[in-house]
Amino acid sequence: MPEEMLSQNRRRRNAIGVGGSRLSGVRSDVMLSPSWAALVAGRSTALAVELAARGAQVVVVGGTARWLRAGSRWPRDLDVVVAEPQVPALVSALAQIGVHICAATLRECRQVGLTSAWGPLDVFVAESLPPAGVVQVGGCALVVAHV
Amino acid sequence: MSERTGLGPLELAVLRSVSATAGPAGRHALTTTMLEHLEVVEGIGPAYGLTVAADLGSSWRVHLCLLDLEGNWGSVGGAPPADPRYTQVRLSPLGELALACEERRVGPVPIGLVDGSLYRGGKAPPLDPARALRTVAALLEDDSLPDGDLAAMIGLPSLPSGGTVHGDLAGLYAGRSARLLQSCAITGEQDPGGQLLVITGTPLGVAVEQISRNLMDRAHSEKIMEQRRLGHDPDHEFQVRGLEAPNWVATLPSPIGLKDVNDETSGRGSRVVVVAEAGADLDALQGWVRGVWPVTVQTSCRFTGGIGAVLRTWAGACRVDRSGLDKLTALTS
Repeated sequence: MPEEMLSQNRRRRNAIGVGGSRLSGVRSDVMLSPSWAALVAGRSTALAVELAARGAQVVVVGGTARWLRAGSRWPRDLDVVVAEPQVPALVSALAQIGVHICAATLRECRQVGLTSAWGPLDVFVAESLPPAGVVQVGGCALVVAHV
Repeated sequence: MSERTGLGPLELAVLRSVSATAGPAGRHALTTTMLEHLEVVEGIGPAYGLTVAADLGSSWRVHLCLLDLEGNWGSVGGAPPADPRYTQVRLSPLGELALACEERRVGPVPIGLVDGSLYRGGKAPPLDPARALRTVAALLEDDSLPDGDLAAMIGLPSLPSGGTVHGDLAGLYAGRSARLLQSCAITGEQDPGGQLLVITGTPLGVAVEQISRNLMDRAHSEKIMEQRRLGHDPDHEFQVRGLEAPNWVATLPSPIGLKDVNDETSGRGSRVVVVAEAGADLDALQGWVRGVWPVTVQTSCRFTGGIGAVLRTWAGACRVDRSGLDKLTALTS
């Protein structure tokens, strides 16, 4: 590899600041907030948007709802409530993002923990949905429980 | 939890069963023989014992491997293990030391301090072995070292799987429950085929195979969403193209500049190569990659009482007899 390319690569790696070496020498009493942390914080909301865009009709509850409503601490996962008649639409939306579960299983178990490329997802099948309102996120209308 | 090693009762039972069945001269035992002993003598079912044994002997799960595993016990890539009829196990030198410690033939060995409990679903994160043992030794010399100095000596939590740790370390070391981000170690590389982001280390307990699969799932989804944003109708295309739809998606431009993902994980370790499109913004792509689960995962961690209290407890135990600490330091250096 030409020397120029090697040095470019080195510069790029430094610019990216990736790998373990960046962390050595960081004082342990410092709050480490990497620039990409916001992407991690927002991915449960991004998952809700993906599902809504694919036709799922769910109500966002739990930590993500609190985060969207009150800006509380970062949600760990996405919790959604779905009415029983809407289960097939949710199953279809999940399949489109690579998460596979059959509607019968979801109806029978009522509470299911799944994982997706956007993080963990807990689905609750309910006969009645919690009180909720619409929150606009990037042009998408999410139905979010009142907290 | 044993105050001498920091190991739990399940782990100690597995070590005893391995020792009892492997026999002298460091021979391996058939895993099935060890599991039979574990059930008959210790009353622990083989299914539980097998999981614990795999954890104790996998270098991507713990820093200090107490078991020496022979055959296919699974891989960091996510490959399934062989049936226990086809694998073998024996104590590693560290495992021998742990049992000697429990039998009070040597002083306490702070295995639990180094490996924490995160690998088994607990809250204590693993630490760098050399730093952890050096810090306990420093406390033996001077027990008035302030907690802030001890935290600095310990440094960041250190994942045996090679991933990085970010988050509220001040809170963690002060004894609060802290939300930490475990993320992959990623380096930039230049290849004749283009710019690459190479994932090597991973968060603890994450299968590499899942990382590459989810990166592709997200990239696929981004393309579909982009088509919708541009006013196209991907659902119509899917209906028309049927089984050919995945090929059609592959030809679409990637809004995040990702060209391909190749899992090159082998016996030498984890390696997932993310190929960037020509002219892609590598910083932005790296941020996108880190946003994909489980490239980055959130974990709640805690050192009960704070890292100072934890270290002082170990130092207090080792002060009575530091032979175990010295032997562990020698074995890990």
